[in-house]
Amino acid sequence: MKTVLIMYDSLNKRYLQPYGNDRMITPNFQRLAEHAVTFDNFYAGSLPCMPARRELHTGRLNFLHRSWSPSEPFDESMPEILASHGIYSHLITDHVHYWENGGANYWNHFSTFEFVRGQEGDKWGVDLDGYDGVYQPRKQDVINRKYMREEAQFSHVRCFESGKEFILQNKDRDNWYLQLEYFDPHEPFYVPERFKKLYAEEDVPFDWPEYRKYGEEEREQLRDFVVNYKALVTMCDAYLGKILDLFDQYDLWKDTMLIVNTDHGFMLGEKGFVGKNYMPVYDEVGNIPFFLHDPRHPERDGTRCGALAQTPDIPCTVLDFFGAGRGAHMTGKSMLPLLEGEAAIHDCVLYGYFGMHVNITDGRYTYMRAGQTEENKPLYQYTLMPWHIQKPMQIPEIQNAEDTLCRDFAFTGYAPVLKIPVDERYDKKRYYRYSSHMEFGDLLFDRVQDPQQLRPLRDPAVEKRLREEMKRLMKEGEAPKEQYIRLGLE
Amino acid sequence: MKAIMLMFDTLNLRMLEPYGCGWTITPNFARLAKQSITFDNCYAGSLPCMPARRELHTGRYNFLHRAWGPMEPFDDSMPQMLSRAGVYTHLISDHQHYWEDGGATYHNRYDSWECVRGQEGDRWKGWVKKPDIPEHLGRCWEQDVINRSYFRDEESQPLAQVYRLGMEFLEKNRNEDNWFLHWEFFDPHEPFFSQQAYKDLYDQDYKGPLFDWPEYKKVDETPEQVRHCRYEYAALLTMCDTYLGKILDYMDANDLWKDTMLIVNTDHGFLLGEHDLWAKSVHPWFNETAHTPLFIWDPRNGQKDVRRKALVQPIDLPVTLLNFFGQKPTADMQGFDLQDVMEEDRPVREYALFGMHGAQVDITDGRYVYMRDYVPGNRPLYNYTQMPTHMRCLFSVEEMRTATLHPGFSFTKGTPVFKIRSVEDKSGDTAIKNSLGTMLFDLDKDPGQMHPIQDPETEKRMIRSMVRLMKENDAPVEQFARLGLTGEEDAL
Repeated sequence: MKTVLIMYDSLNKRYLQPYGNDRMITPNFQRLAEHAVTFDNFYAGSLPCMPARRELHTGRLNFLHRSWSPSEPFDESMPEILASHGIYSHLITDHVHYWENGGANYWNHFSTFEFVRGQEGDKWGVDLDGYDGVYQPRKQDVINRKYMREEAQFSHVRCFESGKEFILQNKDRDNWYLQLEYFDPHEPFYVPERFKKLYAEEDVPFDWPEYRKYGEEEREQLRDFVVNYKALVTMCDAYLGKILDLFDQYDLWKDTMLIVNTDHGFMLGEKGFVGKNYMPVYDEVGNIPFFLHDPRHPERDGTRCGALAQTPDIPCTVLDFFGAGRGAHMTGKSMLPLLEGEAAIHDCVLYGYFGMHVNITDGRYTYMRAGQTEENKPLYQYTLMPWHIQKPMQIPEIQNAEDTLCRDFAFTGYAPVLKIPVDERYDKKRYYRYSSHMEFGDLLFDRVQDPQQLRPLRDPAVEKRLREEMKRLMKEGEAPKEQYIRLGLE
Repeated sequence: MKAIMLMFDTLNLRMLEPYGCGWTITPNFARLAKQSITFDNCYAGSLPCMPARRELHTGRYNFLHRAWGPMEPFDDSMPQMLSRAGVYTHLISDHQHYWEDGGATYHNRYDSWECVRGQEGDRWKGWVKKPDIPEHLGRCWEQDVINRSYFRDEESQPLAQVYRLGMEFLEKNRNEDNWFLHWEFFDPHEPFFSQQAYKDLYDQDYKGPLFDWPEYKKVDETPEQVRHCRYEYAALLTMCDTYLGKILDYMDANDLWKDTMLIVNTDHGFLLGEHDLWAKSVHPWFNETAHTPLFIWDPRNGQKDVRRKALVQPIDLPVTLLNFFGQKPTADMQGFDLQDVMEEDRPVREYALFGMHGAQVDITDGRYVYMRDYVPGNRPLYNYTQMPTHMRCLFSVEEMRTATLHPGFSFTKGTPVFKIRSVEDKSGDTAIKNSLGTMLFDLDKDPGQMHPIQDPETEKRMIRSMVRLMKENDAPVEQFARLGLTGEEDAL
């Protein structure tokens, strides 16, 4: 048996034909849905990019203990567990954050790995013109694009070529896992002209939105963003088709599990928001597309699954598929029983960003619980790798670490970890502040009555039930005790 | 001003023409010596590869506190400081240890960087099917056999790729001002994989199995086999020399000499049968591995075709580069600006400390080398870090369970560090296995370090200086105990 996992970044359900968008050109996602089970209630876990990827290794939520971080020494790793069962793993990615400091140590968990340079301001192309010693992703991206003019030079295509090479090299071998990651359709929505032409005749220059609200007067920019996003999704679709061609040509369907997933969605004007990370985790970001082909259950191809599932379930599913057991600290669930007739694997799932709302859904309701204390404190990071996305934690932050190392957690093997209080002076986010936690407050939505989550409800009974479920899941995940205080969940 | 640091890995001083070698073919190193200052007494500091690279950022020894590891959050970084001062920095490297767990966070200190995959069993191309392993002596790793199958000709070898990326940078930026290019070649590090044309220059008689990658151990091959492996190294060395020549051609053609500093350096050498030993790290750091070649062209002084005797070390290079670009080194940097050495050979230090974490601690004054062995059991020994990763794995949970929080050292900027009991990790090649005891050598009488001497007066002097330098480096107190010292010897 073998497995191919194709992971996109920022792939929106609502821009895909199999999820009902008939104006989009995604025939290959449609074709995928005919070969797979399409999940309607699949949710993210820890957000955004790197926390989601950490879950693909560890099979457990991390956003209650840590923000964006490298792989930690105590982390379990799905591909490493596979290796201990003689199953080969290979990573191909153009996800630039893997080679920033905050993404360190992930790829070495694989047997082999390839990375493709050039996305989102990757420190790759060189141009000294206008150099001022300050790293700016947008400026760097302009330089990088000069190295990617022809379609074949695009990171996406180079990733695909590596993936194809791996599949062709190893198609006749058994026992391997390929994780083929595309950074697209993450912004900037840089896409060859032929895909743009499918959605707009005219020039659509704006392809990299900022993370903020866009007003009426900026309607044209927003329209450009949407057109470019659509074009990029169609590019993803075109190269997905080429992978499906390989599955057809070599009938990989018979012995290869195929998973297609993403880390989160991206808002493109819904409720006025553009981007992610600074607004509540609406379903546009949290409820994500997911496709699963299990070669042992071809009868389920082309069907849909309404059961709740989420990203930490993916490694548990892969391990289950290979008969490799599961990590001792994984809290995710294998999805395979769902294909064998089980109705549900979760009553509820938790998802969110470190230090922001903690969110829960039972499939019907989504409940977003904000910090209730004045400064959104107490709030601590637990880590053995004190780095942010691009930089080390700052000297004063590390100086502020508790004098006593924390040895409270089973998932660290009770190995001690640094306990570092969040201090916004040093841990500045570009788009939000931990201390603006009350801006949105608690939110409850009924996904059936109000699928667009436009009208928050007040329903004390539902809220109380979901708070109890939240506490149960937090306890299961060994949430630190101060999180209950922060969230007012005594 | 601009600067190029052309760094080779495992460049043996004793196998270069400008250092007196008569049998290798390195005309371009000889040409480089005519165009620059050749340093006769450059000694490594922290060993091996990654600790040496950390010194190039921080300008201080790290081997008394930490084994092979990433850049730490509190580390000063020369390229990052240059960058903040408006000097563009670019790294090109095929040194695959940068993208292992223990090399993380170095490349991000530059404005931009490029890497070339495939050296020394880099876990690069994915073949589930095991490759056919040819008959061989020494090492022959499966992944390396796979990788080599992608290097079918000279052009596709990482050496040539790294060269081309550097030329692309130069071609694009030679008329710009204020940049630093860190241009790193993993070669001539083992495996000694080169092309037939270079091999033909040395050895046409050998009929034995493939042997281009020795194990880290004592020699037990025949003299003929040893000679062949040395020739394999020499062939790769000549290939390096050829590309060095192309770079010098470019410097000539575009007269980069007028405003571009050129540093040609290495991290360490490699034992190729000397002392009946192969490799490094598991053996004492004999001069074949610790005494390294260094060439500098500095357009400010224009010194060329001259030699310098002063004792210098890699920790001096970041300080020299910062000064070259008008920047001040930080208080934690312990290296010296080499300007005075370049101009008039004025000494900057009397003693140089060198070694590898957990191994012997070594010191030289240029005349004597003193290797101080550890006590039986080699305890107590700790790693101090905020980044618990080894070369090829993260620290295990079992190791981390021994961790306590230490308040930190003079150079950790007031931050605490983990204090973790040192164990031999699974990374390999980074722990001394072949200790030969405490030894003192007189290089004047015995440059091959074949006969340790008994000279209590000199030994006492070396110990005194060792303790002094260790204290200057804020060595943890248990390092003295580990070496059977009290830590008071500097007062004697």
